[in-house]
Amino acid sequence: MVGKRFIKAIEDVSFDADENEIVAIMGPSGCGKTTLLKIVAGVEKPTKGEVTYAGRRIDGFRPKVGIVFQTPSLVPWLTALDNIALPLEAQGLPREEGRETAYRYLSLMGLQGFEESYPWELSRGMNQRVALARALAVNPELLLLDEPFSQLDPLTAETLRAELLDLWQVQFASIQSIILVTHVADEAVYMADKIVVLSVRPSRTVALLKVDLPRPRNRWSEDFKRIVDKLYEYM
Amino acid sequence: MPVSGLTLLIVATLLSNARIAISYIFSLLAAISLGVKAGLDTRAEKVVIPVVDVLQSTPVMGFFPIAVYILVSLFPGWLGWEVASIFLVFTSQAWNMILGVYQSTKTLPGDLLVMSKVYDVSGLPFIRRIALPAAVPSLIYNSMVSWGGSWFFVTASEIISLGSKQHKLLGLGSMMADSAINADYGMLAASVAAMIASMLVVMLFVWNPLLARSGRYGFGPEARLDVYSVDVLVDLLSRISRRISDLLSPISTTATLVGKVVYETFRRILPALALLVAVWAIIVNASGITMGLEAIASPLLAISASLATLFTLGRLTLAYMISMAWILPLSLALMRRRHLYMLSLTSAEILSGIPATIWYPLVIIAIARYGLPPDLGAVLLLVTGMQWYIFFNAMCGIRSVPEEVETMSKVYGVKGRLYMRKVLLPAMLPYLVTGSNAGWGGAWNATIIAEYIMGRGFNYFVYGLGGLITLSTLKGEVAALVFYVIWMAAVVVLLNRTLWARLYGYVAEKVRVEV
Repeated sequence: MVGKRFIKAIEDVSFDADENEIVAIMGPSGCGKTTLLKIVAGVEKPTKGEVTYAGRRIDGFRPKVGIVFQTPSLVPWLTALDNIALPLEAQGLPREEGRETAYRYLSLMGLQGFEESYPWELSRGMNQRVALARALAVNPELLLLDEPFSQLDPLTAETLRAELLDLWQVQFASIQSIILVTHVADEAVYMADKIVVLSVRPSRTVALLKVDLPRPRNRWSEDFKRIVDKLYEYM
Repeated sequence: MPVSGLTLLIVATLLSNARIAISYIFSLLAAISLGVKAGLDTRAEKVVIPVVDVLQSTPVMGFFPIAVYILVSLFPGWLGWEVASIFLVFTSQAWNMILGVYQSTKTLPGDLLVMSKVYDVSGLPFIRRIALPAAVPSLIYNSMVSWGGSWFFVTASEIISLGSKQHKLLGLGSMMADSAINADYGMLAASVAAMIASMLVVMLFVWNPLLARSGRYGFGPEARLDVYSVDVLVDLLSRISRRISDLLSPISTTATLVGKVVYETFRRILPALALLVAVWAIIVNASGITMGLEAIASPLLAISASLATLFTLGRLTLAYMISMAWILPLSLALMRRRHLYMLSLTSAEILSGIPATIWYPLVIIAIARYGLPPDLGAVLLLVTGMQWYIFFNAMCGIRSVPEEVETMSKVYGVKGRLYMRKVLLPAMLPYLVTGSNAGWGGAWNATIIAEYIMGRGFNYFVYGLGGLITLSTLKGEVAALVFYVIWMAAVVVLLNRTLWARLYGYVAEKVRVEV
């Protein structure tokens, strides 16, 4: 009755994320994008193949990562501030110090005044901001984003995208590179320097596209449209 | 009532309550440390859960003399007897609490687990911030069952006989027994009243405020409980409960530290302990063992045990069906009638606390007088040994229906049997499994009283495994006793490996939401 089904999610995927690079991974739903991200985060082991970070294999060793999922995945009984402070506390930072750091990132995400609010008191967009603040607060070298904007309303999503890019461009914090999983072509082209297109499962790399457009990118420019069209061709 | 009698009653009430409370602290530590460990670590799970299953099902009362013997020789003077009494109460409290924490840890949402892994939230912060708060609702409800059930054991353990030695501890249990023997019905009534009053006080001042505040924990909707709405009282309660929840944090810290030690010792001394008991049994009862071995060698014992198992299983199944038959409809009814919820909980807490020894002989006498089927008595007692675990866990379960789903059901008019099948049951499922598991354990434990009872002028026996155990205890056939108990443990382990383990796996898979 109970058993584990093994599904071959990822077959042959290979790409590099260089320093100061935003890599978007695109593909139809169910192509193993989330699994891939979990492997990169070091919380799941690949059955085959390897992930290296700065020349070291991710296997026991884990780079400092921040992660944001589709859903905020906040702890329901902790306030916004405590949610952000939780990883810091786990790292052994004293509670007050952790909360101070947390507060800085909470303010950065424009959530002043909501530090003592619980997740159920906040809107989806605000909760996603809390999750992003939590990811940034750990001072990550690698930021992993798993369709973080997909469950937000278009306006909120757009604002959050722009804010994230602003932070990225001022070389904020320690982030070396960002890996963004998405299934929206427009989002990939808007944000990424490099786009990896995957096929349905078991997924393979179908294409690898460079995006050299200057930021902030204009969605209505011909170049932008051309790359988006090209992406649709691959998918 | 003379003043000295009143003083005595007050002291006895305090002492009995203190025994339950001390034992409860140990149960809480065991529940948090072992439950979380088993819920997270599959290796620990394979050790802890079967052991808990066996321990909760093994008739402790049958082995109580051995424990008393060891504890009394370990601790000097009165302390040994006190420790023995508290130990017995502990054996009635801990198991379902461990299972409750285990269940809530095992069904933690997948995204929280991944998040904890990514951000290295483990060890103490994990227990304090994630596992323990998630377990709070289940822990409170299971504490309520355990606390109620303790009364049976605390009253039973205040008069301890060990061979020719009999030791009496001052408490409500010994007062009840004394006043019954001396036909002092005023005192008997007073001590029963004191017991019920104790339950009420604990319900009102501990569980009630905790329940009211538990809404923020777990994954259910915010508290929608109508706690007795006397404003002054609510105010007072919430102030007290704030203190209590402040206490949670040092408790969890201690639990983690103790947890490691407990778990490690637990794992190491278990085989040693089993050996010790076996050696003790052999030394004390060498002749009995030889006789018993001959008996086992003849296939008679095994045949009688198999047959008895079937009978007992039949009664347990019937008891289970009876329990479910009232608990499920009541859950449905209470889901939509919040004002009756707290009232039902309070009544259940008190009913569950009244020791079976008080009313069971009356049932047996009635059965004999009116010529009812003898099995009825046994099944009835098994029901009372089983139903409260299921009931309290079910009450915890109905609070876990998500608010949006509840609203959706109201909007689309999903109600009655459809609501039960598609909404309420799936939401309650993890809690029902835990409650059922603990309930079966409690009922196995109760078979030794249910299937054999001696009273003034009557002897009640129905054929079954529990009856055989009691019978061999009374006859002093140690070998047969050990054989039956091991047999029972084997049956329980077999059932757990095949039935409950699968159910837990199924539930964990269904309930966990992966990201």
